[in-house]
Order: sequence, then C-alpha cells, then structure tokens
Amino acid sequence: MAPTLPAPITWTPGTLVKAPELRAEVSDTVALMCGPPAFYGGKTISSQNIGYGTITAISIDTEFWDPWNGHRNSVNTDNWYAPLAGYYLAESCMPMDGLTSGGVSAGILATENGTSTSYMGQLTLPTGGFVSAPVAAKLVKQENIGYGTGDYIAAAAWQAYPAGGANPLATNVTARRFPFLTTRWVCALTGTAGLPVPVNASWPAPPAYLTAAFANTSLRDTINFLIYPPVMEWTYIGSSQSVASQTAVPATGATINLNTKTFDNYSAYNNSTNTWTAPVSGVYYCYAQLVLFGGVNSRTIAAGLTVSSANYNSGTAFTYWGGTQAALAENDIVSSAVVRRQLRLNAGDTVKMAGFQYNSAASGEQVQGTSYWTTRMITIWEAA
Amino acid sequence: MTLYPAPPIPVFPAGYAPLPADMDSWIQYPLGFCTQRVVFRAQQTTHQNLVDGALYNGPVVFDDILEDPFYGYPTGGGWNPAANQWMAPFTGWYAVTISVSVQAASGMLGAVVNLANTQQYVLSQIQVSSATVGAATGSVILPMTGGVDYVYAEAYWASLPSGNNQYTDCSLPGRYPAMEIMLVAADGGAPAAVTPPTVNPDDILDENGNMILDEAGGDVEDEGGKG
Repeated sequence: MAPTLPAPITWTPGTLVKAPELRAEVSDTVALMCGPPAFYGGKTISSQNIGYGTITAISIDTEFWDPWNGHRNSVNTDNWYAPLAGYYLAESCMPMDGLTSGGVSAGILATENGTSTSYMGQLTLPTGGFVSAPVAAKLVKQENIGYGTGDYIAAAAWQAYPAGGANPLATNVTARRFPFLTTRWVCALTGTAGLPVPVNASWPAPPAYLTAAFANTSLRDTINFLIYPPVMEWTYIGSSQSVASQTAVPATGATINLNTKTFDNYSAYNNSTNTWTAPVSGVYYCYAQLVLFGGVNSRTIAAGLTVSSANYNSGTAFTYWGGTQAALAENDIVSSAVVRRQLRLNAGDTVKMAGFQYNSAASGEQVQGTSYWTTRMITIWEAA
Repeated sequence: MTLYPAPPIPVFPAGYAPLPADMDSWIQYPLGFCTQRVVFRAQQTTHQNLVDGALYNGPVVFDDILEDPFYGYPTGGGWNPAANQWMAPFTGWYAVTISVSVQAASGMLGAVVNLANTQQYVLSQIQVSSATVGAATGSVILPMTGGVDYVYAEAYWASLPSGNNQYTDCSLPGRYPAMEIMLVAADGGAPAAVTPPTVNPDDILDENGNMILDEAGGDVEDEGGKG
C-alpha cells in the first residue's frame, strides 16, 4: 500500500467530528511523518567501473532501508522509485579509488515528471594511493509515481582521470566505505504556505469546549504545515559571477548570488539581496554547493553559509564553511565544494550563500552555472 | 518545552467515548512529536589532535552541546560526555551529519560516523591543502534502537607526506567540527491500547465517534447515549 498524503478539511460550526475523519487526517499524518518515503542503499558487494567524463548511475546492490519497496536488487538496480509524489532530499557519497590527476565527483540522477535530469555535487582532487569520497545533495521533484515506470532517483559518479585521458575508474568498496544513496520525502508538490509552526495545544476540557477555530489550528493547519513546510532551492545559472581570490578563509565570506528558483514555497529567498530569510523558527537543513571554473593556479575552494542569527556568534554574522578542500589545478575542469549544516534559526534570521577560493595567481574564478554543474543552496525546515 | 514520546499511529475507535486526555494522546502528542522530532546538535570549540597514519581518530570530542532535549531519556539516552557519544532515545532512523575540520596541512581528511562500536561509515573523504584550513562533511541515515544504540564521530587523517599529526581547526565559529542528528522515521510500536468505554460527562465524542460543534462554534452538544 502506498503512503497517503492527508488532505485536512476546514472545520466549521456544526461539523461532525467523525472517527474516520480523524483517522484520515491524524493517523495518516502520523504514519507519513513517522514513516516517510525514504531509502538508504549502497553498493557494497562489488565495485563498478566509471567511464571517463560520463555521469554514470550506480547499481545499488544492498538495501539498508527501503520501507516502501522503491528499489529492487534484481531489476532497475540503479533506480529508487518514489511511492508518493513530492519533493525529496537525495544525497549520495561516492568513494572512488585513488588517482594521480583529474577529478572525481558524486551526483544525483533522476527523472522528474518523466524528464531525465542530472546534478553533480562535490568534485574533489584525488591523490594516488588514497580514496576520495565526494558527496552530493539535491532537491528532487517526483511527480509520476509507479515502480518501474514512474519518476526515480539514483546515485551517480563522474571521473576525469587522467586529465584529458580516457581511463575507467572503479568505485571503492570496503566494509566502512562504499557508494551510497539516501532519499527522503520532505514535502508535498503543492500545499498551503504561510502557516505558523504548530503549537499542538492540549484539547479543551470542560468547561472549555471545542471550537472550529481550535480544530482548524490543531488539525487542519498543523497537518498542512507538516506536509508542506518551508523548503527552498535556488541555483545560479549564468557565467557573469566570479569569486575573488583570498589567501585565508575569512570569518565572513563573499556572498554568492543565486538567480534561478527551483522551489521556494514560502518565497523566502530574495535574489535582489541574495538573502534567504527563515520564514518560521525551527531547525533547518542547510546545504550549499559552490562550483568554480578555475585553472592551473587554483589551490583551494570552499562553500559557505553566512548566518545572521541571535543564536550564533552573539548575533554577529559569520560563515559556516564546508571544505576548504584542495582545488583542481588544471584547466578545463571545475572544482566543487559543499557545506551542510543543521541550523536552529528564529523567524527572520538570514542565511546567505558564500564562496571562497585561493588562487596562486590571485585571480578571480568564475562561478559555474550551466548544465549539471550548478551552484546552489537548499534549505528544509525539519523540526520546531 | 513539552517533550512528546515517539507515538504509535493513533487509532480512533468509533463508539468510544474519549476524554480530553484521550484526544491529547491521540492528536496532541503524536502531532507534537512530528512537529518537534528528535534533534541533537553539538560542536567542538577546543581543538583536538588528529594522529596521522590513515587513522580513524575518535571519538571527536564535542564540548559544546547546542541542543539535546531528550538527554537522559530513556535512562542514559542522549549525549554522554564521558564517552563522547549520543544514544538514540527512540527506535528509528536518524540522519547523522558529521563535519570535521583541520588546520592548514596537506592530506586526506574524512568525516566518519561510528554506530555502536560495530560499524563505521565514511561519509566524506577529501584532499585538503596546506594553503588553507580544510574541512569535510557528510551525512547518512542510520537505524538505531532506542536506549541501546549510540553513535560518535571520528575523523580520518592521512597527512601528505606522512608523519604529520595535525589539529582540528576551531579558530573560527564557522569551522567548528560538529555532529548533527535528526530523526527521520520513528517506530512508535503498536497502536495504543484502547480501554473499554466508560461513562463520563466530559465525553466529547458520541457513540458513533462523532463530535458536534454548535452553530456558534461553541459548546459540544451531547448527542446522548454516551458510554
């Protein structure tokens, strides 16, 4: 049986409160929120060769968690089919064997409303004799539902070894280090935005009485918020933005402009000020990915989240950095860094995407915003 | 802050006359849990030595617990500062994110989570540069049994060339190593048992499981025949 998306009613005076209605609203909501469509699978039994310069889906051979049976180990082994329409957070990690040049990257492949899409994440500079394990995260829209025929999500790998070469490269498999994909449903395709965080008040006891207003707040609005919380992804598409070189990672980074909305149900990102403002209080999953087109003088790269909140650093804005990592000192290839944090924010707190790079020639590097190499930021409300 | 336990999927029996407390246990607590979830966030503000040699240094010591609302639930749950590990309060699946940083040095840095001393998971492993400080971050979703399973963070370090131990980087708030945990799915167990109907003037559902709001959205009408 597929998971059910609740559709809470609006209560009015005289509305009968029926047990079936409560089951359809409350029981289904609790079932969905406590057992959401999700997946965790890995490639743990054998390695997989990845061709040069080809985004390749990973054949998952081990299901750690697949409560809705969206993956099979026998057929369509690359794909996890969503059992419920909505937006999903997909994350992957891609250990690859050691290289002496070139780069390796993790990514997400998907079909969204029947259209194939591909998104690369972190791209790391490998080192001979050591394994690199880049990661990726993407908000993925799943509309067509059906195992084997509907939209799906897959982990992906990419490699360029050596630079300008054409050699296959194997994913790395050990007991503790292997390619994996996780997915989890985060919100419905559509819903009611602008709702406050539910307070979940006690039900009235005599002499107080149940009102339509109470039922709407405690049932309709609470459920609508939980199935459609604030979720945002904006990306940068273009080639007119660059990041200046700095010799040290600063306390507060240079702001990256994002100009293309993927999804922003609470209209929380302002691309004039390049600022995302928390629409409600809570703990947010925050992710940013910076892709730069560097060159032989590139040395390091980092993605950041510049936070302005009374909860951190005495209210003074500062940047959470992911990376800093070594950048590819080669022409005609990008570097990509990611940052990921769970932040407790108050309504009105702001987060800006930040970028850093150090280039031995002290030159700026272009922000990449084309094709599957995109600079982007994701925020997802997760808890009160 | 009111803490709600992991709920079973509530059952609304028709013909049962619930008390307001029943409505709380069926509606307020489960939806409260879904709103609140289980969150743990901690960071390291004092640097820690990372021994070279492709070693999994751990546990990473977190000296600043940002939030751990279920500390002590059940007995011994939450953060254990002596062991630098976090025990799940409820059975379920948890998204665990590990971020580690290192002072400027050339080498391979990895973010690793250790589940119950039985399984390590490498969440990210990247090359860092002597040009600037470095950091790695990754996450995974892990199964944990409430009151039994625990996780702690580890940092993989292999200097290039070998032989250089290094410290984590806590020079700026934005570079603190961190462990963040969020409940993704909970196993609340079997639906709560329903006790036999009882006679009570405070009933707010009738024998058919119906409750009526009056025309003004006011008093609950007694349809009679309760319990």
